[in-house]
Amino acid sequence: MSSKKIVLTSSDGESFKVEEVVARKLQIVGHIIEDDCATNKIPIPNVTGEILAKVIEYCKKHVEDDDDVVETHESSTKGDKTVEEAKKKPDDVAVPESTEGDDEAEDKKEKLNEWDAKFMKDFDIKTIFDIILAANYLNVQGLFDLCSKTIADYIKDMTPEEVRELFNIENDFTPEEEEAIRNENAWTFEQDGKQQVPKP
Amino acid sequence: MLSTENPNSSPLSDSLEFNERHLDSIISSLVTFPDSPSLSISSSFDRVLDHLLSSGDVSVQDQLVDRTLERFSLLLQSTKRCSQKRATLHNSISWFLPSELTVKVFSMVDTKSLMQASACCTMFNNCAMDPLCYFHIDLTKAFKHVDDRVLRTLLNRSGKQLRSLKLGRVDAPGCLFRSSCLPPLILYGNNARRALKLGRDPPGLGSLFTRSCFDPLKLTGNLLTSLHIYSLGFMNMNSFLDPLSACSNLTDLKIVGVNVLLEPILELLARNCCLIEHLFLDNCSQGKTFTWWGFLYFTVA
Repeated sequence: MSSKKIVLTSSDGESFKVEEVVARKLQIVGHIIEDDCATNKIPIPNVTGEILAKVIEYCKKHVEDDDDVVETHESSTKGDKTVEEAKKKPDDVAVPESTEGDDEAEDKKEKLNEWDAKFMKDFDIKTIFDIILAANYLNVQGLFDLCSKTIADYIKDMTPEEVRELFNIENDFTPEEEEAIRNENAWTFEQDGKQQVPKP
Repeated sequence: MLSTENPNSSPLSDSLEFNERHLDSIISSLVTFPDSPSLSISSSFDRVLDHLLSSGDVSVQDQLVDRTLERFSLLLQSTKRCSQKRATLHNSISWFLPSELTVKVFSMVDTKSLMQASACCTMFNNCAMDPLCYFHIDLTKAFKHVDDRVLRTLLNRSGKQLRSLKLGRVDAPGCLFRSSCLPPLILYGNNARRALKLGRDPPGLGSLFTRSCFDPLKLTGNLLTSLHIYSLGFMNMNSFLDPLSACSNLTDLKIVGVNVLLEPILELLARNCCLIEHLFLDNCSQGKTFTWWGFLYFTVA
């Protein structure tokens, strides 16, 4: 891993010293480095220190673990075919054997998913939105997807009233518009022969 | 010679401007009139209207009543519109993701939940109309209430973004396999075709769908990679094969508990869907199952 350090400065002036390999996880920073526009200080104008710290925490974890997962998987799939495999008739169907390397990679991936879930658990909705905006701006695809999935999971199986309550959304439809939408999507409001009635 | 005089400075436009300002001022006074226990607005309205209606003939009185009702109806409508605008503004502060990011979030929500969310507010409704939200349409969760109209609406909304479609009742009685069970070819050795006698036909959900229900796939199916159909009962072969032939990028096809003939489907896949990798056809009524896991190589004469 590269030992070169890069300083990222947030919109509110907070500085974070990170390894180049971590900074490159922020693809917008990666492009700056590749274009040789970078001194060792890079300003991140649209992201506050509080949010940038969380993005960097995610990137640090995923630099280590993503690399480990890839390396483990690659080492397990290297090497030539065995003699037995070469002897096999082409129309024989081989049962793929699970190698130790694959298991290890799967295990690491599982642990990484657990870490992701734990990482997201303590954030309120506003913070998740801020991280989505930051991940989108900095082009950290994994973090963007993770946050989007978290919000999507909140919405899952909720009635419109519950979604409004959760995200502090107000009903800005006219009664006619709301009726038209509910009629068009009537099938989603049906539950065991009954129709969900909107709360007054 | 043309006059260079400013048209806005004409006496008429000045009087219009004054009238508008005057009108705004009157309405503003009315709306901002303070609440006071000693002064009842309701009583004032009564007094003024009584006074105005006490003079003049009946037609003038009727005209005045109509005009008063119309004015206050306009005020009520304006109030509702302003209230909506306030709510919309509030929503853009509460949910401060821009619409393109909201669409990306919505693309990760299942179809039923997306439709429910779209009934929350105008912002959500607009975002939920984006074709990107219909990458994956899964109607198996709401199979009881999904019909031809619903399917057509969603397929049309998807535009050309549709990647996967799941339709029907996954756990219908009479279906031997569940959604998680695509038995690999390994288990069957090299004999991919099997005859299975099933206890009963699945319930006829197909009655909810017309012969043309898959027609939108002719336009939207070009990028479709995964199609799963469960227990739709009877399906007209031509009305199914024709749209299926447009799905040239299909890699995963699963048809369970549907009265279809295997040969025409295999023939069509060989001709039009050369990328197919996973194929599972379970024809309940004929008691035949065709399973293939891995890459299919078809030779066409």
